[in-house]
Amino acid sequence: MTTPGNSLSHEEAAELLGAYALDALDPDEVALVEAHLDECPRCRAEVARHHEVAGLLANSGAEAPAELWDRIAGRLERPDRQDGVEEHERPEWERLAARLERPSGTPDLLAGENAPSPPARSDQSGAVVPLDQSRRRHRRVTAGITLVATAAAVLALVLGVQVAHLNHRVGQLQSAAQPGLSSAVQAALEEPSTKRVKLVPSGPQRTNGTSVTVALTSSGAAYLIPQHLAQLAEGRTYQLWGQIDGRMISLGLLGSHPAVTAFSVNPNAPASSFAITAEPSGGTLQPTSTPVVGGVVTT
Amino acid sequence: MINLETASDANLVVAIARWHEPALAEAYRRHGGAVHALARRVLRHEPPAEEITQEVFLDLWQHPEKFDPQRGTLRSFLLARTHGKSVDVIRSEESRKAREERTARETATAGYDVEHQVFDLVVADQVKESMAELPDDMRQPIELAYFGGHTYREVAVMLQAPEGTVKSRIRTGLTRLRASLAERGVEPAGVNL
Repeated sequence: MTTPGNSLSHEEAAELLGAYALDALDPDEVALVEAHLDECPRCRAEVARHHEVAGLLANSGAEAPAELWDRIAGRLERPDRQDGVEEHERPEWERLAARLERPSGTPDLLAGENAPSPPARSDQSGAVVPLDQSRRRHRRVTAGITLVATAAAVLALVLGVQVAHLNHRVGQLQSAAQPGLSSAVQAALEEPSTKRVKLVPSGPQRTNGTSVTVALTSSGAAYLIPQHLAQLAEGRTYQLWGQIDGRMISLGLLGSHPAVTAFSVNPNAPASSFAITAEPSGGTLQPTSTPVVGGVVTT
Repeated sequence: MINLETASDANLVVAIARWHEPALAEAYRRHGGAVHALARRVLRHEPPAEEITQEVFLDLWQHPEKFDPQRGTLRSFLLARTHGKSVDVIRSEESRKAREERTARETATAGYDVEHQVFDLVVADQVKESMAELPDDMRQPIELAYFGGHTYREVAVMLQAPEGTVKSRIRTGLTRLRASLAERGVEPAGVNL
């Protein structure tokens, strides 16, 4: 068993790494594990992997609340700056910059024995991830996490949806009955630059065959293509929503039995996800029911 | 001046170290939602979740050097800090009573949160499926520890299982989860040390 004052063998420490990564150890064990981690790159890597998995469990994909940023910004403290000095360097943090920015192949001058009072954060081997390697890693990470909707991280890359007030949008969506729409949809789907967002039901409903594809073209035209979307009872309508800047914005009413529908998008107001809810006819200002289908815009 | 939209997280942290406030704003935009969602999930209450979110980003502002890219991604770092702080809150003496009342309050305030719901629909589906695939005796300890903020010893009592068994199931469960997510095309960050 683990008792304070003892150091852990590799095997003892390794057994605790899962619980450590989930903050589920008692404080005395935390100290012992951290002492081991300082010496063991393999266990550090395992903790990093557990942290990444835990992070995925936590991620709801929600965007950062904008009003919370205002409060953070209001609490930021910084050292006094001299007039005209734009960037005030924190000398000890140049080590950090070196660690993060050092060009590939540059000898590691900062993490070795020359470094004054090292914060013991660098790998014991002295190995520093070169910039190109760290960037490769970053890309891989981004690619992976995008799949589970780090919506915020991909905003810069996604197309947007025009923010529109509900009242202005009612009745403005084009239906498939309109001439030319089918061929426009066909052309959009054949265009390689068109982004497709698949909206599907959640959980067990996922396999019921219902789905809605949203096709976002680079020119700003967007199309909604429903599949097996059940007809709603009289007095009900489907309503399309886009999540823009963390808010669910109504993009229009689709009627009780939607066909292929056209709408317009604005790259300057990007939507990170789409959802369709069933609402009373006339629509609502905010969704009042669980989405029938939903989907996240990925790159 | 860096282009914030295209800058890597590592570049953002360097800019933050140079007191570049827009870089912190960008880091918040990228990761604030996840940080807030995790704090909310663990604390089950909005005010402390917002406080933790603020603390995590204020800490990044004051101590960007604590982020070590060799120990994982910025998001993972921020979430680990968020979880640690959230757990500290619920384990603190003052909150003990609140913790006991948590379940009741949770039930009372459980409302429909459409923004989360949308993502839960699709985004988290793979994660949910992977979790559902885990044997109960691995899934439960992970959920109780991570979302419930319990230590593995507490979890052992709750599940009436030996402590050693619980800690190794947490570890094995996380490893399996990672493999299962990878099968679904969800590659958690590769950390090669």
